[in-house]
Amino acid sequence: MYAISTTQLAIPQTPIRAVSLHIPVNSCYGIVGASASGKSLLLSTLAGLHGRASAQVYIHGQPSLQVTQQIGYVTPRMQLPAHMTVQQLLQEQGTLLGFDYDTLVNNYQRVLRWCAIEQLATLTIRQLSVFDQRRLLLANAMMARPQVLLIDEPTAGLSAYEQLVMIDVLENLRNRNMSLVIATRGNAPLESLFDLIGILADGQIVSELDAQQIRTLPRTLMIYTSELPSAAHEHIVGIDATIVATQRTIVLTGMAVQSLAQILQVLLHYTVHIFRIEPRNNPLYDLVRQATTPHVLAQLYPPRNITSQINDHTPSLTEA
Amino acid sequence: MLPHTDDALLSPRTAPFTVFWRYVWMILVEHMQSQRIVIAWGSAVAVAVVILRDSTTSATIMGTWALYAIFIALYNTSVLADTAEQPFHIQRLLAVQSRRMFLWAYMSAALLVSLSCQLILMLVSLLVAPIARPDLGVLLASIPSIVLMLATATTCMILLTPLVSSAVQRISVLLLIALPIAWGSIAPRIMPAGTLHISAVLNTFFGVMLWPSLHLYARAITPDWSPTTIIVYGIHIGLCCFFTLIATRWFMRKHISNS
Repeated sequence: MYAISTTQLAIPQTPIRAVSLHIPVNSCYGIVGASASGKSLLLSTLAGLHGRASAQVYIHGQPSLQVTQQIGYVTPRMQLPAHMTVQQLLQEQGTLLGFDYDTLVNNYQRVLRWCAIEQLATLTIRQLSVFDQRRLLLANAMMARPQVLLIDEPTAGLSAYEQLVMIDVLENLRNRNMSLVIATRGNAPLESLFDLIGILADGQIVSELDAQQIRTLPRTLMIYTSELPSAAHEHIVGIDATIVATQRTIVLTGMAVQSLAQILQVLLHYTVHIFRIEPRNNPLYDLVRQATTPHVLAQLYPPRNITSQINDHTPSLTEA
Repeated sequence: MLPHTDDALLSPRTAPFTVFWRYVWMILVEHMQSQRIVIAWGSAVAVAVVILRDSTTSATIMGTWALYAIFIALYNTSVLADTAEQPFHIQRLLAVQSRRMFLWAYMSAALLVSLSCQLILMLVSLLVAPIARPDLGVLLASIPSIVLMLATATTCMILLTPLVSSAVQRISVLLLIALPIAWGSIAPRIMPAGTLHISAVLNTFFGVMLWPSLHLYARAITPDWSPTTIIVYGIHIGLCCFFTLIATRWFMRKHISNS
């Protein structure tokens, strides 16, 4: 059984033409696509918000419209009622879910902890930053303890540091016996979260990447150092023909990234100071750019039988 | 503050009926906190103080009450439907047990707010126009008509809101309501000279269509308990059910926008 499944989902007069998705239980699935490719629409349809089209979506084998309480949905467009406190908001959500007092308290404590907003409980929403509100939205969606959590652009509008903290929060939620589906246009380094990635283009999932393929997506790393001694320079360039090194920077592209540990050893050996190491490209964004030629992408990463991929490459998913 | 505990055992959920009324209460509290209700209550006080002050006949007062009932129901329903459409409420839509419950909670809340406005109007007008105060028997007998008018206007208005209907559906409903009402005035202008008999037939048809509502309006001003009135009440209860059914069907199929 899949956490979410739909076959040939089409929504007239929208970009969604024939989406087939089979998302394994307890996995983290990334829907990656360019702007206006229909990611948000697809996510809201999976959440059961598109009355007619959502009838074609199944959550754990049941029609999504019948199990909306098992679905959490978060989008950055949601604006919270400014006058309420964090505690009031979560308490109301628990009330709507029909929880009794004990369950309400338990879930309340749990979501505050999971979303790292315990210290915000007594603040009103107007006192919270955009980042805090985003985590509160996550907590609110988590109150139901959903089996499926759908998140649209979780890092949109956040600073680089906030993006990293948000990824940590999502990583934490990922290990809570539920399936995560995250839609992104590839402008944040979310790839480490995903077990599977589906590329949305031309109104369908044109290709899918499993965990192994995600790990080997082409990356470029920049290492900024103090001045390299000529011996160190020669040594580093000798490790891999594709490594480019100047007096103060080293660029690793493609498979050369695998040599990072070796290069660091060389730098330590010659007591070269490392200022910072940072990615030069964003693999997800590169995928989105490639999605403008979906047939090429489909050849590189064709959609395939996901169940076998999960069993082959990510056995830990079923254990979780 | 909620107490801190780490016991994570899930216990049975409360009955849906309880959750429904808790949600209605939550909507009403938020409506008050957002101060939108001030406009509705303010309008009741304003109508009583400005229009009905020093009225001398009970017919004037009760006529204004009846007319106000229609307009306040339209206003409150549109405001609450607009609130329900705010993106954050999507999380609540998913939290309640069904879409049906979500819609009905907002409709019930709209009806309750309209009832409160009507009550304020009646109480204040009894204070500011003591001479025109209707007999208690007449007053009580007009209440069912007013409540039915509020309910019919609420269920009809919900069909005209973007929460429930698409643009085409809204225009269709609007035409279905506006055309019969306006036909008498527009027909002579738009119908060619040779087709006046068709216009007359339509006039009669629309007249029959509107008769129950006009009768209900008249009974709100001059109440009585004749068999015709009982039939008219029955027709309007049926209409409310029909409108609710249509609204629910449309809402179930609707794509709830989040942008």
